[in-house]
Amino acid sequence: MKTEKKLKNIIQALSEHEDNGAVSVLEQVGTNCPDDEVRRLTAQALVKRNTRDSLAVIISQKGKGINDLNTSVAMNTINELLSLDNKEEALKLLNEVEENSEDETLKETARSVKALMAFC
Amino acid sequence: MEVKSISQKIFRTRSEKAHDCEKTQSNHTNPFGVNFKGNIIKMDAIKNADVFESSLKSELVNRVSGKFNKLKDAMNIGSINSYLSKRLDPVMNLGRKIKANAQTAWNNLNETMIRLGVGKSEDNKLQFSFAINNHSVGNYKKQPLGALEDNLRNIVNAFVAERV
Repeated sequence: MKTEKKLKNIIQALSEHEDNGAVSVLEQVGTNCPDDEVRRLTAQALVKRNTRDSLAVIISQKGKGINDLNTSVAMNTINELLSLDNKEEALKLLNEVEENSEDETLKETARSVKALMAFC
Repeated sequence: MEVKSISQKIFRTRSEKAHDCEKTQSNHTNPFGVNFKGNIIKMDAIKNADVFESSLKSELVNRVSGKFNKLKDAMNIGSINSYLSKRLDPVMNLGRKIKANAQTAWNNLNETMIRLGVGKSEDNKLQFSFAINNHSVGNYKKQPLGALEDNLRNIVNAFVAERV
């Protein structure tokens, strides 16, 4: 089996894993990886998991998920957020970041994504 | 018989003789004066050229048309064959591909089973199933998080190394 396929499978498995500790595994290994593709797949998996812990990683942390320094990774994560069936948890978190965050960049990004979600 | 009429018959004038000659000449086309046993042949004994030509022509035409028809039939059959083969060839090729794929898949399966080594049939079955499902999503989900984390690190490192 190709390495890429194995990577996708293991990340998907972590996204669907029963144990909530899977979020920290993805965050530690995936979101901190220097490779853009690995970060993109990890952010996607965290969005699909759609829990408060997993969404907090990609919405409220600098340099990860929607705040990733790589534009394509950030846009991909935003697309994944917009395609969620249940956006309730994501909207709550975006509101919190917009109101409470000390970082202006994080606030601005959260505001933009919230506006996009309103259109969808 | 009157003397006058007899004398007229015997002593004909030149013009009358010439007229008679023309009559006889008009009855045959024999310019060379061909005769048979002393008699001048009055009618052409040779078959009529037009009739001959037409019969020859018709025979020739029949022969040629017959050959042409045969050629036409051969061409039709050839074109039908080529048309059918164009339609059938892709189907035949697909059939061959499917058969070849099935054969290679079966061979690979057999080889895989052999490669797993000799042992008890139950062990072999377990090993075989493990080899097939080792890297599937379902299999990963059953693993504990510690093992998963190690696996993820190894796979990420291998993936990054491949991309460099």
